[in-house]
Amino acid sequence: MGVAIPLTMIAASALIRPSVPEQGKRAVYESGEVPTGNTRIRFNIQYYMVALLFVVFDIETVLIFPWTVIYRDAVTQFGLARALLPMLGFIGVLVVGLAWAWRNGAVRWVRSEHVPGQTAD
Amino acid sequence: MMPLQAPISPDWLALTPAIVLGVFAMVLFLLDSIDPDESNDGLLAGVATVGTASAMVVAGVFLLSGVGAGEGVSVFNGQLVVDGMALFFTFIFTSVAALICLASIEYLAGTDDIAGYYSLVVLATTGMTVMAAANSLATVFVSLELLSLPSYGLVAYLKNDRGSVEAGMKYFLIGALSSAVFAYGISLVYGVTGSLLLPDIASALAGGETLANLGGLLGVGVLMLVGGFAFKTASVPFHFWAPEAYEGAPAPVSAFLSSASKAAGFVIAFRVFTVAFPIETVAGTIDWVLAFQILAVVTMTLGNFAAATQENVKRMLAYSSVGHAGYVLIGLAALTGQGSGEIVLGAGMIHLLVYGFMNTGAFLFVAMAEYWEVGRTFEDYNGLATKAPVACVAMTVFMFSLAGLPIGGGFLSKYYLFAGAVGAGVWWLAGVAAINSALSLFYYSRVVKAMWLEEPNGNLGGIDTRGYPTGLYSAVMIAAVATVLLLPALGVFSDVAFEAANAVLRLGP
Amino acid sequence: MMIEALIGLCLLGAGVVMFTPDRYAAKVAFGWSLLPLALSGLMLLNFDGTGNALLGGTLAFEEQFTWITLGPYDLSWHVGLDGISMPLVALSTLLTSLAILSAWTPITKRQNQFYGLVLLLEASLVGVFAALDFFLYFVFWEAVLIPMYFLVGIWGGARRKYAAIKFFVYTNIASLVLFIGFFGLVFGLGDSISSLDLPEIAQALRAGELGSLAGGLIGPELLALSAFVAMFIGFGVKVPIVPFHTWLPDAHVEAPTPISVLLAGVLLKMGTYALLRFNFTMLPEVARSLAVPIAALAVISVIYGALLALGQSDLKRVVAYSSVSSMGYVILGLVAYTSYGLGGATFQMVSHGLISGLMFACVGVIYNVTHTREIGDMAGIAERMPLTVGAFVAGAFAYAGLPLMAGFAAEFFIFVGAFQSTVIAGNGMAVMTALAMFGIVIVAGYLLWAMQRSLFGPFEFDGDYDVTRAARHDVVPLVVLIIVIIALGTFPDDTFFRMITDAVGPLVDGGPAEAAIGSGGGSS
Repeated sequence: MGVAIPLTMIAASALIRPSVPEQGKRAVYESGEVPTGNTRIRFNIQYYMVALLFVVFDIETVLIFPWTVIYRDAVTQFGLARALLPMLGFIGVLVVGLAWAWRNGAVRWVRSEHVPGQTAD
Repeated sequence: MMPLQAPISPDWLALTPAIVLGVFAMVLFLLDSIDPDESNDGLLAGVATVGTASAMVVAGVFLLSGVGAGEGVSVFNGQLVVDGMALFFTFIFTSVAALICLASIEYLAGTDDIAGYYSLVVLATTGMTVMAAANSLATVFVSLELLSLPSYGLVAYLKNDRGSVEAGMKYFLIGALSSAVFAYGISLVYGVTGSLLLPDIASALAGGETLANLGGLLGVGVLMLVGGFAFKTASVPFHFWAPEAYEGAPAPVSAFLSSASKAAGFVIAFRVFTVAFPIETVAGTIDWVLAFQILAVVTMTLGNFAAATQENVKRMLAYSSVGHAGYVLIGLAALTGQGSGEIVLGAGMIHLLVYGFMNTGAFLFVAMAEYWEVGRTFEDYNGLATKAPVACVAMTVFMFSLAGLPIGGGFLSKYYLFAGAVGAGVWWLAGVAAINSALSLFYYSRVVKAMWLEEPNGNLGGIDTRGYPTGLYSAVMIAAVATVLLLPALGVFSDVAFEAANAVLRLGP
Repeated sequence: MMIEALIGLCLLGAGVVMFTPDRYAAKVAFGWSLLPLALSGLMLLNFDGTGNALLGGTLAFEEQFTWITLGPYDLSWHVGLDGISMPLVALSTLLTSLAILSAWTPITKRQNQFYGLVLLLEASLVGVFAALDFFLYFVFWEAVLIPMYFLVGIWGGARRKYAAIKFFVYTNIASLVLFIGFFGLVFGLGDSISSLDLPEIAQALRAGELGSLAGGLIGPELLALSAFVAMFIGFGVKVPIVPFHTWLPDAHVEAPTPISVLLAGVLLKMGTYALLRFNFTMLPEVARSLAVPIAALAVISVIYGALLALGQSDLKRVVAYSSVSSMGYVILGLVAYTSYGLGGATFQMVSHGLISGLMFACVGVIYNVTHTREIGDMAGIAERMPLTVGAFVAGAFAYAGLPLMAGFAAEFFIFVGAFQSTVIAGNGMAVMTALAMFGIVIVAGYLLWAMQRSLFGPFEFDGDYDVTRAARHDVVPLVVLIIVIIALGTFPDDTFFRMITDAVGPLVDGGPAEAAIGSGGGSS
């Protein structure tokens, strides 16, 4: 029954609505701007690289923030080593990752010379 | 290594294998950061091999010196527990990973970003190691993802090879789906029992009230967990990715996935179901033993029958790996409460250990054949023994050991699994397994037949021109020797395996 | 340490021969195979075992230490010989040496691999007969398959690949069936055993310790019955008993002749030996209660094997089917459950091993020269190859049961034992035995006809080959076999029969002299 109702409505509207095919309806919607080109373009891989690095820092912030809030209490309760070292280790792992990504050119912005116009900006 | 006392102090030192692996992954990154353009293959492979091998040694020493004896060492408020089972599986993972690292040197020659490959392998191994120790559904999930994400990258590693990329894509999609299912299952279990810690789940269920009220919901959750395990272990119904991924992936990665990653799936399945849902408590509501019996039968039958119809050796091995997942599932499917559960569970663990060597070896032999550009089908292997007799002896050992002939440790573990099934009163399961085992002999012997009985096709020139790949060849040989030695020397591991199985089974109620 | 040394020698020899250049492999292998032969001869002379290995007898050359502990059960390296296994070990080493010798002519390619595998096979065969722990036994039992697969598959005839895989899969399925059956018994015994030691299991079973399985669903009687049937099928394939015999002609015909010698001579005996050790020793009551169907199967094997032999024109097939027939007698002797029956059956294992080895070797020698085995393709070979043909005739007569030859002694004992037997009410066994005797008549008659047709008469041969005297090293095995056959037939007691009856005696409550009368009831 729960499925039948929407299906009936869809079927009914499909039967009785007017059909007016028009150019504008099939065009790409780009926030009201006049669209340039179609949607099937390839974004530069470097966007993804930056996005991935962003995720790393995103997570880092999420974890560091509560840690700083309780840091003072934690030091008094467990001592400096147990409060600080694990976080340093965590940041250290991230730094190693970042350094590796940096050295391997993840943040170097290169224009592709083979296919002009592929870098969509 | 100092003589180790049973409860190791401080506690977290029990995680040494995982820490070693993590540190070595970082070292690989640092090495590559120094000079990323100049790829020093030998050094990177060496570091990765040393890292995994030293983790293996630590795990072995811990295992034999009784660090994880009894209930094991509980770390981080019970989130992780390092017991016999965890160390046993850690040993399997690290030994396979060491073989893979050793074997990849020549196979990857010519591809760029070697450091990425090795660090992914080491990170995935770290994930498995943590999985083996995971004692809460949260750590299970996190470590599962730590294993899965590098695996996707590894499968698609040959980025200019269409097969590899396609395989990576399929693996990733099915993996993401099953991860989602798994996470949903975890949330349902948490909703019913109010805890993620496996022992706490068991005690929440112990009274029977929760089961009576919310049994249906929990049942759905458990079924979803089964789905997650089925994906990792390449069992029905989430096995579709296996043949595609194994065929397309670089052969060492196929070896890694089909041996170590499968074992990792099993270790959490073993632990979650025996500890969190002891069958004595939940039998009335959620008969997961029955579910695993069905899965075991379907998995082994499907795997073996599909393997029998393949023409491509790597695909055959992929399906046979599905079939072996079915055998190991007996380890859970025969925990009927009759007979002694430790026999089947322990035998399942031992089978995974032996399988780690023999299956890795078989895939590495395929890698060697690919290196020689021999070809991929059974016919392409014709007469290989005339050119490379010693390597073919090794492959024969792998094939016959996989088939369960007494030339390697696979014989004992497989037959002990069957025996355990008989002892648990599930004769029919042992019967189906026996039929499958006999069938498997047919297709394994096709490889042997091609290598030894047939005449060469004239496609073996690569052996002369390319020579023997040192690292790959020695990895195959090490795997062969280990497979053979595990027959007489299985006693070294069988004691700890049965003890570990016993300890895990006793944790439940 | 004698048995370990024997197995070790064979394995070491296999390793050495594999790495010997092809030119020397044959001679090195033969020379090396004399070492285990000599050692087993020495063991035979120093044999000091008494009683049955499984029923508390004193074992010769016994060694035991724990190998692996798998859960509640210890697996151990436990080997030892009694009066049943000693003759079979001797038979294995003798036939291996002779088979290697008879392989000199026909085997021309990849010789080092061939002889290495033969020695590997010998190690497994000795292991099968010496092992007294189930898992150890099973390891050797299955290990036999591996060299056999290659030996048939690489050096066999035209359809060798098909024959090899058929043999392989067929016997592997059988092994799995018997494995499951046996483990049903093991778990049925529950806590009353702590290892997979065969003597321990046999004694526990005979003491009536068998419990039920699957939570009482399968009671002791049903368990014993189904385990018996499963093991009977598993071992019966190897024997082979008639419904399970179809792999045998393929394997025999396609195998190279030296391997046929070993296959018929020793491998088939693994099946009957196992039946004696497992089914008839461990579950005597079930064996008695199933006497009628088993005896019927035995008689069917005898008659049907003989009739199939009649239909063949290939000499090797004739001999192969006659093996099916002969192994039927062994089963008949076993099921009679008298001292003479069991002893005769064991003696028949040895004597048939020698006789069929001899006949296969003869066919092989003839084939080496003529390159055909079809009865119709040749005539009067005797003119050119008097020694070989003589040996063949001797083999046929031995088969037919000519007195003073091993076949006569064995069949005589079996028939005496079967006539005495009371396992079937009334004169059932006597009738069965009388029926089985027809088998001998049929095969013997057919063999004589075939020999007359192809070996005697005026010489006639269509092939392009020059039919001449066989090489000396081809004839030596034949002569040796004939000598041994006559020795066994003339002095059965002094060679093996006393040893055998001593070992099978404890199976039939009374001593060796007392036969059927006191055998009812078992020991429960």
